[in-house]
Amino acid sequence: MFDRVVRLGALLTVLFILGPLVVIIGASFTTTPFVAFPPQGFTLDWYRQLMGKPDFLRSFLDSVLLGVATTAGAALVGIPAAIGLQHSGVRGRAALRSFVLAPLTLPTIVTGVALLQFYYAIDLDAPLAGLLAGHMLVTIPFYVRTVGAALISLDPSLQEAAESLGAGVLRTHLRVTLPAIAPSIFAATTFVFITSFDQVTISVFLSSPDLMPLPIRIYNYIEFAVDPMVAAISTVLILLSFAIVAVMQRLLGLDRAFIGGGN
Amino acid sequence: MAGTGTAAPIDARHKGPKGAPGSLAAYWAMILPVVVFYLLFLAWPYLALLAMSLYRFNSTTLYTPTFTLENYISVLGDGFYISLLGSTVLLGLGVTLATLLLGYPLAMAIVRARPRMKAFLLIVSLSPLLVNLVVRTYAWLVLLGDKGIINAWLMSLGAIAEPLPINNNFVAVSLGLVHVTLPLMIISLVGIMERIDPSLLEAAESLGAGPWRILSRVHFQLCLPGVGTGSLLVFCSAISAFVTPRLLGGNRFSTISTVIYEKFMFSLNWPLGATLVFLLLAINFAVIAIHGRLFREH
Amino acid sequence: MTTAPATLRIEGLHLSYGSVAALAGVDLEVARSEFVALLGPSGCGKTSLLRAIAGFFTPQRGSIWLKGRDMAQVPPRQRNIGIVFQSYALFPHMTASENVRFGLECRDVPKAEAEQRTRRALELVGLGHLAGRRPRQLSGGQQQRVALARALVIEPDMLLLDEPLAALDKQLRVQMQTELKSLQKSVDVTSIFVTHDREEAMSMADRIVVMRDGRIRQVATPEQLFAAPADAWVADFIGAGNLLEGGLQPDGAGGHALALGGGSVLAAEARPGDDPAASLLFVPFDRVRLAPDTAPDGPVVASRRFLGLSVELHVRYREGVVRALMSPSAAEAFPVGARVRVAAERADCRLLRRG
Repeated sequence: MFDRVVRLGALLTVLFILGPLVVIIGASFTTTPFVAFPPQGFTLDWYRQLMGKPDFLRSFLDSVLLGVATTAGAALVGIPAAIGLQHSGVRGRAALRSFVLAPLTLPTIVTGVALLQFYYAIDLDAPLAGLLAGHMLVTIPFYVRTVGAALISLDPSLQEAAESLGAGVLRTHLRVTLPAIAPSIFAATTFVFITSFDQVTISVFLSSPDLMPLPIRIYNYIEFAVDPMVAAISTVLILLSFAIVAVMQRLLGLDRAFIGGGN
Repeated sequence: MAGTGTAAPIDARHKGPKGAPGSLAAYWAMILPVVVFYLLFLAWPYLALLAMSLYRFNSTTLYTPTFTLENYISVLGDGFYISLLGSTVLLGLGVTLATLLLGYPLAMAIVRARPRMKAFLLIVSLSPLLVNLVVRTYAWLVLLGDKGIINAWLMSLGAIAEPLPINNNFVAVSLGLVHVTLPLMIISLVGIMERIDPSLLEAAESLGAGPWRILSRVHFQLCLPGVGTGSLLVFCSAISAFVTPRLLGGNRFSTISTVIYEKFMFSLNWPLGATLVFLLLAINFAVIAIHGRLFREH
Repeated sequence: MTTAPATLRIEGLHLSYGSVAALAGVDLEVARSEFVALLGPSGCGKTSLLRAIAGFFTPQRGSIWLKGRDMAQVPPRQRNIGIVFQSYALFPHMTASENVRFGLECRDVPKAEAEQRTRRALELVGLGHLAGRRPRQLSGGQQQRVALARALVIEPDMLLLDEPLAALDKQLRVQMQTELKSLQKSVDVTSIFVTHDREEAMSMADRIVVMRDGRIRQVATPEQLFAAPADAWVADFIGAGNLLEGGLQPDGAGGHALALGGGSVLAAEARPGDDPAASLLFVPFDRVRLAPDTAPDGPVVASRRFLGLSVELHVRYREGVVRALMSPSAAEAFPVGARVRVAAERADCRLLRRG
């Protein structure tokens, strides 16, 4: 009885989570001009129509570019910081770490408006740089936290072993520390890219007609129209996300990637 | 200097009982970029925003930089903002409770499942995190609209004659936010449930406790730290979200966050928007403080 | 001990973390080719001493000389000391042979030579056939051998081993003790190992350094240590023999005597510096001799422990218990409850100061 209730509850929650996504995917194939589920008939017209929208395609490419740039920038700044913050000789590293992790606690909307009025005040006229800085701000903490957690669970003797064998600082970190925590770095990189690619809250405030990441393009579109074409592009994005996760699960195991770095 | 290899000058380093090899300067050099970046793009903008909340609104130049407390006074003295505050907090509490009720059985099922099933359930639970926020909200828009799927079904079945009022209101926003924040609750619950020693539950069972008593007297109590963390994450995300409330609440249901968005993007009253930002931050920090007080001993 | 110049010389070493002193004045010399054990309870400073030699801790005072060179300004990577860590610290992303070769890479050894030395080192520890495996594909004992090969391949001036056998199960540990010792002798590398296991120290070391509270209490060969512990604490820690309580009296023959009741008396020869008031009487377990007795207030066999090759009898007297070790057949004469007379040679007994 008890087990059945638990299972039923779990099933309901799974349906609640997946239901809307299934509806979207199904509705993208409907022949009706409005969103219908179950879909009426079957057509790929909405996908064809999507291909004919150059602004969506451009936004997609902009988002990819922004995601790649953000991932590279956050990794270059965040990974060394995680290693540096690990060193016991660094004074006030607990305070420094909370400072660096702050964007995880601060509401993203606040960071968004803070940057909006800051760029206005300093008269920044570089939309890509502005978006990049905003995205890096909220993704660097992923690297600091994930890599930091990996370093803590790393046997400190590894670095001592490398040193006793004659390796300098650079060689120790490049040949021993980083490869030893490579799985965590890989997991963090995947999440940083997805986070940047899907980032809405900050981008809303910082994008311009010339540079509009895909989520903002969709957001602006559905404020006025809810038609099956959005279902089509949503389906593309859903499948993309699941493909990435499936690959990660294959390579890493999700338990480690999610639960390990949590809290 | 970092990484000059074996030719590095030898100095009195390697102090202290712990720590990685090399000179301290090298480690500071690794931290410096992030600190500079955060001072420039986090600390400075936030301080500027604080100043903005103290400026006077000006409809032609956006603001005049003279310090005044009038924004705070007008927000705290205005019935509209007080009821906005109330409905925002209520929304946060409702969403938190709903995620807890939905997430708890699923988290239990995840912890008990065998490896393959576990991986599947984990992916399902976390999938909303990986699907674009706008897409997720769009799904609810499609389901809940006047001509949306739920109303279309019910009307074709003849159950209702008029569309149910399930959009642009508290219910719609809550549903959307529960969907968005549920993974945060599930992660927290699974995290704590994984750490529960199964022999504690077996001990309770051997003492004659039935499953419901074990759940309420042992399991739930042991999960409290995770419930606390999950609730904190869900509550703070819910009250700070604006994409979901904006799309599902339309013009008829507002939260502090949607009003902030409106003040910054449309009515361009930045000083007032900034003041609301600090009201929002105050709620966040109050909740964090309460959480810290409640769960200190854990 | 030896006339060869010391490989390692340590003078007046002080090391503390904050206000906690880990080493409070340590002097030690280790001769070429010697195999030395640092033995003591946890927190005695043995690991700190090892890490100071390795260069991971910087002492506040004192000096460490390796092959006549002062190590004060030499970072760990330039000390040419091979270390086997307690966790082995094998690089998880490298194969066994890549692990072994790492130290040669750091020394810019030409590729062909490095290849050859790596192979030889792995063969030396009997792992030539597993060179391509990664650490997690190796058993605990195999990982330990890789760690050993990695430390030896750089031809270190000295080998340090931190609790080298602690992570192995009992049977493997005993086997590795023998192997490690013969390997150390055949490679002929001056070595120090840290252990809290006295059996391990006894079976492998040429000399044992007993430490407590950041100081060296005694340095001796295993045999010397057993026969003549420096004080009561050392005797107790290594489990060398009985430490008997009770009033020590002059025995009239220039020695000290302890009366156990019923005519049983143990006596030790007086030695210069003896302080009967602050000392206990020490008798090795296997040197206690028993004889049947009928004296009504004499010692009684209180219990017996069968240890396989021997039997340990616990004999209760007024002040405490004397433990006597003998063969099972000899022990048959003393059932539990029997009254006995306890005796020992004067030469086997000595006064040990309370530690």
